[in-house]
Amino acid sequence: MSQRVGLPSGAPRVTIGRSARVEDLDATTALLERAFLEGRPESVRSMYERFSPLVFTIALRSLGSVVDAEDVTQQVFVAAWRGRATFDLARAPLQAWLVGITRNIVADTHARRAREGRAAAAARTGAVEQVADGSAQVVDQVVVAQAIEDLGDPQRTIIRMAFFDELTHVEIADRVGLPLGTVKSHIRRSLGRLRTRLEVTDVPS
Amino acid sequence: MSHLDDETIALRALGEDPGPEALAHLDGCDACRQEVTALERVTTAARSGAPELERPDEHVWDRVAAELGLAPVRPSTDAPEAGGTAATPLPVRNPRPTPWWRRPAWVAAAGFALGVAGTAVAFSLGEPEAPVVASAELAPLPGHDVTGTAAVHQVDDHQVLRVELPDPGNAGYLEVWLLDADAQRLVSLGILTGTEASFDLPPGLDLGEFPVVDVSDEPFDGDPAHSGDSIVRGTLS
Repeated sequence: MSQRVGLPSGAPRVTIGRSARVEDLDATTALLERAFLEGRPESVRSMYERFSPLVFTIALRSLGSVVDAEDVTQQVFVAAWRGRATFDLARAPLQAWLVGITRNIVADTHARRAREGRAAAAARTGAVEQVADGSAQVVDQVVVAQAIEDLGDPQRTIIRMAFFDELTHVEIADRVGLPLGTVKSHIRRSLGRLRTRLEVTDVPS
Repeated sequence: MSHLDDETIALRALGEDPGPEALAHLDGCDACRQEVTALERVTTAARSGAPELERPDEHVWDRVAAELGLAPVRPSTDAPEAGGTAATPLPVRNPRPTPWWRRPAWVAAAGFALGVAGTAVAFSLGEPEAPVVASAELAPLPGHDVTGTAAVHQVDDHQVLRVELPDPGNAGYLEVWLLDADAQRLVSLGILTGTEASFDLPPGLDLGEFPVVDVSDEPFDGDPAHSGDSIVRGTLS
C-alpha cells in the first residue's frame, strides 16, 4: 500500500459541480443503441461522437502511431455499421461490442506489422522481429478512463481523488464536505460500475 | 466473522486499511478475496494508465462517412484546430459557466432553487403569474458542452414547458422531447429555434411518466424519430 500523506490543515474544500446524471447517460446510450439496431444511418455519427475517443485512444496506446490509430478507428466504425446485423444487445452493450471490434482490428494490425517486419528483417538479416502487444492492459486502462468520465459528479471527483490523489475516504469526505457514509457509498457504487464496464468487454466478439 | 460488506471491500481494493479484523477475515475467505481482486482490476487499470481520452482528428470521420456513403455531416463538437496529426482531448469536464446574468433573473432563480430544493415554488412571470411546478437543469451529454434549463409553468388550466439553451451549437436542428425514465418511450414536443422556446403540454400528459427533458440534434433527413444524438438532458423534479 502506498504511503498516505495527511492533508495540510486548512486544505481548500473542493466544490463539485453537477453534470449529466449517470442514469441520463445510460438513457442516451439506450437511445443510441436502439437507433443503431434500427439501422438509422445518422446513428453512425452519434456512435462516432460518443465512442471514437475510446476506440482511437485504445488504438493509439496499443499501436503507438497516430496514422495506424486513425486507420483502425476508421475500420472499426465502418465494420460496425456494415456488421450491425451481428450486434446483439442481449450479449453485450454497444460500447463493449465496439471495444471487441477494436481489439480484433488492433490485433490484425499488429499481425500485419509483424509479417511486414519479418519480411523486411528476413530480407536484411534473417532475424525475426517481435512485436510487443500489451493490448489487454491498454483496453482496461482506456475503458476505465472512459467509464470514470461517464460517472458524472460528484462520483467522478470522488473516485478520482481515491484513484489518483490516493486519498482515504476520510480525507475525501473532509475535502468535499460530504458525510463519510455518502462518500463510502459513492465509492462502492462507482467501483461497481467501473467493474461492470470492464467485465462486459471480456465477452469475446 | 461474517463476510465483509461491499463498502469495506471497495475501500480495500483502493488500498485502504480496513483494520486487523477485516484483514484476518480476508486471509481466510476466498469469496471476499475474489471480490477484492475483481475490484483491484479496476484500481490497477485506473492507476497504471489513466490516459486522457483523445478524440481523433476530424478527417477520420470524413473518411468513415465517405467510405459508408453517408452525408458528410461533421460531428457537432467543435472542430479541432488544424494540427495535422494532433488529436484534441475529449471535452468532458467543466463546461463553460453558463452566463446566467444575460437572461431574465426568474429563469435562473427557478432553475437553481428548484433544482436544489426539488419543491414546487411559485415564481412571478410578470402578468399573469405562472407558477413553476417542476424544473430541471439540463446538463451536457458527452461530446457536447451545452447547458440549459427547463421549467414547467402552470398557466391557467394547462402546463407550459419552457426550455432555454443559451448557447446551443448544433449541426442540424434541435428537437425537444420528454422521455420516460428508461428512455424507452418518448413524446416529441417540438422544434427549438434560437435559444429558448415554450411548449404547451398536451392535457393528460403525465410528467411522472415522462419526467426527462431531452434536446436532440436532428439531421434534415425527413425521419421524424429521435436521432439518438442528445445534446442535453435533465430530469424534472
